[in-house]
Amino acid sequence: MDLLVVDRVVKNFGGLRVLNQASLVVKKGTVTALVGPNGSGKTTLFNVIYGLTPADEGEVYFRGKKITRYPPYQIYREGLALAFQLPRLFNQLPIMDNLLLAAPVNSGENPLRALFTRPRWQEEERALARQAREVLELLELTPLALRPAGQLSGGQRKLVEIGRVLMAKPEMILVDEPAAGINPVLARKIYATLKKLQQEKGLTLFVIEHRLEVLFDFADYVYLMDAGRVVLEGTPEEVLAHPDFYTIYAGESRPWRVL
Amino acid sequence: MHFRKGFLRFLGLLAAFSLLLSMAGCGQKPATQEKAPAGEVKLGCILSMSGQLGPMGRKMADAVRLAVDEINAQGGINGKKIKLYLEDDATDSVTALNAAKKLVEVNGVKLLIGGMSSSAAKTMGPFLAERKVIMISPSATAPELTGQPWRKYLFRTCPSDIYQGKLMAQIALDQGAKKVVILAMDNTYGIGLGEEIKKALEGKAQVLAFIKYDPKKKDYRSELTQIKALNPDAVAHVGYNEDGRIIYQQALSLGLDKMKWIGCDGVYGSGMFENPAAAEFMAKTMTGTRPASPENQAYEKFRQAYKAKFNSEPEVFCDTVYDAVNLLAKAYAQAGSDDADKIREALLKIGQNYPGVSGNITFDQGGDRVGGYFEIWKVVKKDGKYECVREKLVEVK
Amino acid sequence: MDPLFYLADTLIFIGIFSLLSLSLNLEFGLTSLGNFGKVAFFMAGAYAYTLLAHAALPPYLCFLGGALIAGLIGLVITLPALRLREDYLAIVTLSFGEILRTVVKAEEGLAGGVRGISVPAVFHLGSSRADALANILLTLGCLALCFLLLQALAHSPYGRVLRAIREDEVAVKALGKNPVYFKASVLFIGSCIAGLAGGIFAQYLNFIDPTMFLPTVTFLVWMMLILGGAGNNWGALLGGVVVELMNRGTRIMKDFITLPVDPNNLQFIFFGLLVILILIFRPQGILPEGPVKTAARKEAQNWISSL
Repeated sequence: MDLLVVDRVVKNFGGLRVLNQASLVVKKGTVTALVGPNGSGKTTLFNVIYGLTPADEGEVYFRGKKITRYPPYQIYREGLALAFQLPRLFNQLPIMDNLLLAAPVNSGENPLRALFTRPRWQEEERALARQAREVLELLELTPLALRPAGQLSGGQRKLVEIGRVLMAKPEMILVDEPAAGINPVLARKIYATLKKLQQEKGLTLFVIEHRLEVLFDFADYVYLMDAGRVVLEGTPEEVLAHPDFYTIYAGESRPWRVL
Repeated sequence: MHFRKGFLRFLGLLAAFSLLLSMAGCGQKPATQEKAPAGEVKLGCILSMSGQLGPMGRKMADAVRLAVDEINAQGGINGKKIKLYLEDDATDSVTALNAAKKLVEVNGVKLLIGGMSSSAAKTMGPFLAERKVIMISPSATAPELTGQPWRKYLFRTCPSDIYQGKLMAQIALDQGAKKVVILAMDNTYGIGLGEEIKKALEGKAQVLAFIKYDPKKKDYRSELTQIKALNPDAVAHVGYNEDGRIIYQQALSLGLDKMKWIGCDGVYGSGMFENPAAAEFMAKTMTGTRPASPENQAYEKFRQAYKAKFNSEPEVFCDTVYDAVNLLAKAYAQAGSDDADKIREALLKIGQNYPGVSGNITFDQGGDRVGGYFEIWKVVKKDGKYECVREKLVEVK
Repeated sequence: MDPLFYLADTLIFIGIFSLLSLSLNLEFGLTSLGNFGKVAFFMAGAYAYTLLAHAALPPYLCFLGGALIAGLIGLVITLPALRLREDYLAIVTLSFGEILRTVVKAEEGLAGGVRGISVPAVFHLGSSRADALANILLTLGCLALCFLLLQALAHSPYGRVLRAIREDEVAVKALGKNPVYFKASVLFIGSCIAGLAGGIFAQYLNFIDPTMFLPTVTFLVWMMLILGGAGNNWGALLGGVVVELMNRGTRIMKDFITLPVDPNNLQFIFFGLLVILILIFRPQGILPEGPVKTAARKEAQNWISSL
């Protein structure tokens, strides 16, 4: 099934056309990768999909529903989650709390329930704590559960960011460079986890990634972007075997000017 | 890190406790002085020594000290010296109440001079009635203080604004005004006095409008154009120096000096002439009133004594507060105790044509001063300089 | 003379101001909302209580009504500003305070205008002592109740979201929570508590007028919170206690120490200095904020200790 459909999206920033009729499809249950040179518009495309910045032209569909004008929290509720490139964690709160906040349903967040139905949300908190623990163990961060997020290293923060996304149990995640700044061993582990989630829980992943070696083992489908649109697509083997791939990939992307 | 947090927490609590203890400790000390020692009468005085009325209050405090020192120099009251407790209410009514509570509960004072502003008097009123403490206000002139349910133990040596209102209305009528506009500041003083002027004009002249304004503004053209459009014969203005200067300057430029203007004590004084246009306006068309001390010997004597001690002239309400201290002392002497009801009786008895430095004082049953002395003043230019001169001295009943 | 009365009065004022301080803690301490118009909702509650009392409603309804009216006013006034930057909230709340005061002064028919309005007292138990004691119980009772409620809110998922909003509103939005809803609820609750304090104040003094609700009251409450520790309800309490005790203590100190300046006025200089020092060296105040304590945290503590 076509879970996410991006249909001829255009985005201009001032005099620059950063997304120029970008179109792609992510099928349910796959790990799809988005690669391309710096400045080709990959992160912008993610931001447009997730509603952080509006598209100037074109549409985005999730599960057949048009989500183009939706604000982020509504998209989140639809089952599509975004992990940031630079982690936006709550630095003063412990990792535990960062994870708990990512749970989509927590009745204690309603002030009236917080006051009057304490036993119920305490029980929910315990259940969420257990879920958080699973996530933390996956990320090998369990002993740091109560450490404020601001005290973690860059790599650890990236892990927590992904952990947050996992707490939401979404149907599909957009991940912007999951392995950036993380040592190769841990990076492989993260991908293995994400792959496990795909296989065991049917999670769909749409990943921006620079490291090509990863793609072969984990991606089912690859899109190559350049100058704001998709120029190449296919399985990793097909794309990487294409003669133009390396020139485009290694080249500098020049966004089109708006005339 | 943990140690520091705990230490600071401890410090905070220690500070709180020590202050609490000091207060409880204060409870201990005067306990041995439950009844004032044989040689002492406690007099509490709550005036505004800081804040908007600070300059006025400080002068009044000096007058209080003068009165107390004079009484003590003559041996005190029934042989007991007066111990003065002076508190600052910072021109804030809740602070005034707090000061009163401290004096009454912690220091054991039963005689108070206070309630400088009418707002402070109203705030302290219920407390005085409940704890049965006598207070004389030297300067709370608001008419609505009359007839308040808690009024029993509050007296006033200053005349209520009813009288100044009557006088200002009378001046307007004497000048032939049939249509009057009242222009007043939107505070207790302005609105209170303005209302009295309005009441006094009822049936005798038409009040076209009662315009209230914010004395902190810097421009009054909207109010003045409104007045111009209404075209009254006279304008009764209740204001202070700061706003008065601007109003008169702008009134002059708008040609409003064709109407007769009647002012009050708020716009009296050389401070007005800092603005030459205002001075010119006042010289052309203003007649003013203000509470004044009678030109009698008692006042002159007081004035000399004040000057000698403090090296400056006494100002407004210094005379009424001086009288208040003396009245209270005499009443206490006559009552023989600090029981509020007895002192009240004594005050009512003594306060019948009592020869004060602010004129003859007579209290009515409600504790208000009957009638008052006022000066009618005008502005003239003498030798190139403007000054306020007394035209007449009247007693208003 | 009865120093216990003065102590009672002190306790009641501590109670009233601690309520204000606690409400500001919810708004600024936990959620970083710059409410510079605290006095406005205090005033709204005081006047609402008074008008309801004059309409012969029983006291508990007057308190409830006063609190709710203040809360609703708080909600309505701030709602437009909640989607904007924090500065706008500060401006809106600050100016609303003055607007309310001006309206009350101008509309004499409403509540006496500049002349103020008398307020019927709740307790007529036959003796001043009994009344004072009843007022202490009322004030401290309300304080305890609100304290417990606010603690419950602070240590709950709701409180966690508030702290998250304080740090990074956009991230909260991305997590599927609507920050405007939370901020609005915070201002409603905070204004309700301020309104309740206003009602207690009005009936205790038996008289209120516009001069009692100047912006200085707002700044006094801010001072209490900063001193005591923003983010910590105990800190808010401590701030209220310390500032009020300092006020009363300096007035009494006057009898024992002679200084060229009135010690009661010195307190402002002292507090000003203290606030500056605290903001430079210890911005979290005397009692810093603790983490959100829910069952989840306990669970985590359990498994960490067993590692």
